[in-house]
Amino acid sequence: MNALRDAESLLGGYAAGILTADEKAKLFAAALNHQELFDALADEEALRELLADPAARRHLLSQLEATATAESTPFWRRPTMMGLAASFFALVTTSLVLWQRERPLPAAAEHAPEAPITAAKAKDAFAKPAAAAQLQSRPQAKGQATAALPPNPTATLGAAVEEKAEAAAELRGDAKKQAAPAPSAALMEVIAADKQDASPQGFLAKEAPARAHAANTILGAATAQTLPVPICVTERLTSGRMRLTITWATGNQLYLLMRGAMGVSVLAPVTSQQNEAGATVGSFEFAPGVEEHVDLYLLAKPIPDPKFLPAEGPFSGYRKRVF
Amino acid sequence: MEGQTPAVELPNAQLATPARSELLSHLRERIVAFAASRYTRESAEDLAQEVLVVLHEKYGHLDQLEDLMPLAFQILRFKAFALRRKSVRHGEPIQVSVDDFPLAGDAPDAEALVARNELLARLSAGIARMGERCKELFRWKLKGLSFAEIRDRMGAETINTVYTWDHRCRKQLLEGMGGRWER
Repeated sequence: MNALRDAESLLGGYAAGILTADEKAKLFAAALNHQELFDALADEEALRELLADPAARRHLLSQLEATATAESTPFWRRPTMMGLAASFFALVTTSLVLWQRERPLPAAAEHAPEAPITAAKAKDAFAKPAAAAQLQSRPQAKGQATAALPPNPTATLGAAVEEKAEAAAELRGDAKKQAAPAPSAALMEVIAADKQDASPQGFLAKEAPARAHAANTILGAATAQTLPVPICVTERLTSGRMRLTITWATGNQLYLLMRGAMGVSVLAPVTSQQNEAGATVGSFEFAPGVEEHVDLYLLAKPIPDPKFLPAEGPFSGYRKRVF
Repeated sequence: MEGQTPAVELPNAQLATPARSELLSHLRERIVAFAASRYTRESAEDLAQEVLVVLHEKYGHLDQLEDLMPLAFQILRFKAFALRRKSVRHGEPIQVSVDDFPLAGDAPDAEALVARNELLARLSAGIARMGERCKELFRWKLKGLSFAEIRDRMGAETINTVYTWDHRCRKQLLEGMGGRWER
């Protein structure tokens, strides 16, 4: 039985034709005495015939060689892995590039609060007037915003305004103790640019209401570097009158001019007081008429006759049509 | 001849030595038993008879088992092919005796070629499913290395280890191919 088992172990060598003479003799003798082994050997003839064919042998050998080569290569150096890694790298790189292109300008992106200042930010807005150093950086920031104007200009312009709001927020606390400085050169430049049709802001102001709003925001924002932007809340009273509740930095002078067919009149505050942040909160009421507008002016100092404040054009201070 | 099991007569016989006669007798028994497990009993008898006739007529000069047995397997395979062909043609107006087909021939017929290609494809698939050691062992075998040389290449302690590996690998390959090399 042992001889049979030993002989069976030689079966594989028979088909491959690698048995020595001794092994063959042992195998055939066992096959002659054991039908089972004889049958197995007879069946093996088909494989032996196939493997005797050099072409078939080469085919199988190349298959095995390819497998051996693939296994001897580290998995991370196989073509599949290399391809996957390259695809992943390309995907990440492309994503980064696209993300960077869609990202706002760095200067604007660093200061991301909402452009229209909300009542919640009123305290922050009425802080110390912006530092001169920050004002000096204004033309550069403006230039950047203009140069890299994205498809949606409102977004970028809004971001520029947000920068000012952020600057104001940094300086909160002692606003009421400091007088507003005179409008800076940057402010005058922005105002002058507003007059020029060729300037990006002027162009945008003519383009569409949305763009005009963005340009006006820039104007207000530039001024806000010197004079913190007042917060104006409009509400309609049950009597049909309008009430404007305005919060501004104490120390500055605020005027509300009502312009209409009957001329220009200065609105006097109904109430005026300081809030806990030290800002002044004033309440103004008026009866809205046809084709009447209310312009808000914030100046560093009081002037003798505010009725002559210009409705448009160059102006040293903050101005906004609030109604 | 078919269906009959006449005793082996050796036409134009060379006188066989007693050892050779005994060897051929043993071979005949094995061939009949093997063929009977694949075909009908009558066909098995016929196949064995035809194998012995060829061995006697064409290879009368060989009397060693190591020579006769491989030849017997080869002839048996050709004869089995012929038998299958004949059964396929059964009922056709013109029947050709298997004796009319030459045994030897370098160019395989279409059926043999198809069978060969099919076996090669199945063998390739079976090898692909084998374990790494079996693949390596098969590779060395295809390169013509003997078991002793394979032992050295694969670092086995004894040649019996290589025999055992080969036996298991062959079994694994054969099971993967459905238990038989040919369908």
